[in-house]
Amino acid sequence: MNRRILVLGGFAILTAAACNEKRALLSDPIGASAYGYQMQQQATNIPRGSVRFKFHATPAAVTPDSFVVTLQGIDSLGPNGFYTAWAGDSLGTTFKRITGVLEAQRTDTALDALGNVLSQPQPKVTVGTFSAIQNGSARTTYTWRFERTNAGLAATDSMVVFLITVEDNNAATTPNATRRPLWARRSEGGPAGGLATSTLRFGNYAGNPLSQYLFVPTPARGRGVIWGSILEVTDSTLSRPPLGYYYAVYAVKEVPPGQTNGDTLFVGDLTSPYPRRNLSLYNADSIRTDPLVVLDIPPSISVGAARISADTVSKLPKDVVCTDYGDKVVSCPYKGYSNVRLTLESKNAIRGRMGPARILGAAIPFVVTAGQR
Amino acid sequence: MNKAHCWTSLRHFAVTAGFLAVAAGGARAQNASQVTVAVRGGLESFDKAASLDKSWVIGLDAMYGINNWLSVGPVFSLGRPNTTGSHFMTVLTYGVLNLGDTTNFYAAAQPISVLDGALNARVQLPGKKLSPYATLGVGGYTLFLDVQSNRGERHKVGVAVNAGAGLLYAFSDRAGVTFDVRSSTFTDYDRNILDPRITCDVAVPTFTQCPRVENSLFREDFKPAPKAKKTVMNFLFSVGFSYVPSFFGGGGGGQ
Repeated sequence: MNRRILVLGGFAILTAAACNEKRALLSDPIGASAYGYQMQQQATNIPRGSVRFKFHATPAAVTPDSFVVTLQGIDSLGPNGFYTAWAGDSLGTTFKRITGVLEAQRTDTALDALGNVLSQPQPKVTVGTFSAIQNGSARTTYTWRFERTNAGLAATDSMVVFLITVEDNNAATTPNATRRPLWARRSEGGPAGGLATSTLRFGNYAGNPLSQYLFVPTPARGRGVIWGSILEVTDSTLSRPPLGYYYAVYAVKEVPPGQTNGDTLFVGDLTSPYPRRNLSLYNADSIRTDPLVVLDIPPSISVGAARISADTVSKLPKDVVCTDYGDKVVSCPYKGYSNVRLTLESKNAIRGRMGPARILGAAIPFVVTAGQR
Repeated sequence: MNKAHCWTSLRHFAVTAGFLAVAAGGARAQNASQVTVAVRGGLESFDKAASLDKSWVIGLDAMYGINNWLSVGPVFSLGRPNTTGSHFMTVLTYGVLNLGDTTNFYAAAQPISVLDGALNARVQLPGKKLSPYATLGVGGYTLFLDVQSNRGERHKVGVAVNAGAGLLYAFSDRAGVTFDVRSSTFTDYDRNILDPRITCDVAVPTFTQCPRVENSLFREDFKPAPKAKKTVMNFLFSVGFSYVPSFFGGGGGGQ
């Protein structure tokens, strides 16, 4: 009898255990919520400007030939970077380094009583006479004036192409063979009456206009997401950067007007997306670092990505904690960061310092900025 | 299949097993022309590619002794595992992307019933107290999926083979306890039917069909499911009560 009870008891326990399932259905999210954002086209502060060519319309003209260059959106370069000016012929076979007078005009912004942003140009300042410069700024407009004699040109030297190269030193006597990002041709400015004003082109200069590459920032698009400690951006249909440039991603901690403790976080260069994140697109300006995403025709990057985990970024303090809904204490490493930007950076600039050329940008969802998860 | 359904599906199995246990009266070890019944319970560890979590399992063996060392008969096992949710990661997104959306991640799992039965042959070495044995059989298996998760009854049937070995410890000449290790191989296995997510045709625009819920975000942060296999091998570890029902020749004999 005892044996029967034992058998039945054991069987009952096993049967009950078999029915004691936990229903692991869609009831409990795994990890933190992921907050997405869409990268908007900004295409602002790209290197740009114009060149006014003054030349002898007739043999009798006496006005000296000159360039008046207006330059904006250039980044400050590092110790091994110099924007260097050159004058050349129409075929791009002969260039001479030229020296000109540089003026700078800073444009500040202010808020009116309604909170609208006002542009406040400051007086022009003559910086000096230079054939190469290192500094730039998102808010500074440079005017660089070159007059034939003072620029160091002979009467026989051609002045139909203005070229800015990026040199590794300040002693270059021939233009860098590859890093020729800014130029203007007199012929493109509708020359008449001894004057022509041409738009300054940004890309890769070539003597034959059919071979040059013009950088176009507008096809870019992308999206990003923050999930707990992870910040990720994925961009697509990017133009390949001009030679000497690369794409980088920054997170920006903005502060209200009057405060100066804002900050930027270098998320990193664009890389190939998962599962090839180990392939950097830093050199996508010159080589196909990843044939799956870097194309020659059209010269584009079909997909690029950047990703960090706050656990591995020393700049993001691990002890920042916030109170989540329900008074739950959680880590919130991106608290205060309000924007994510995809920028175009010069390889001669200081790495990790955000440049002015902004391709895409997005506001980080407020729930992240505010420190909730 | 919810808890009530679980009980329902187990009822016949339990009644049958219980009846046999009660009817056993006394019990004894295997002998020629006798039926030995063993009620087993234990743990089943499924092939990782099967996408099933470990689960408790109950089983019933009814072996007819052809002679003192060979017996044949049906064997059944029933388990209630959960599917492995991490193999079916799901995302649900709320909001409008350009305004900032919110995505939550889920492991989509469901409780299922796994019933397998086979006709087995068992070879047992005679012994006074301890009798090792080996068993081999061919039969079938059925996966009964969760009714709620699958919006209706859904099941999958296939051929199964099993092989194992064990040890019988005899309390008396009619009763004993078995320690059993058995492999159960399911053929023509289809892991995809365990996926409770709405599957969508990627060639059809989202707005004309179901929303896509497969995880395409942070894929590197979730361990991918093992490669699917058509044949999965599971292992069942069990302890059983073995006895000889009196009306199946239990009146005499012994080892």
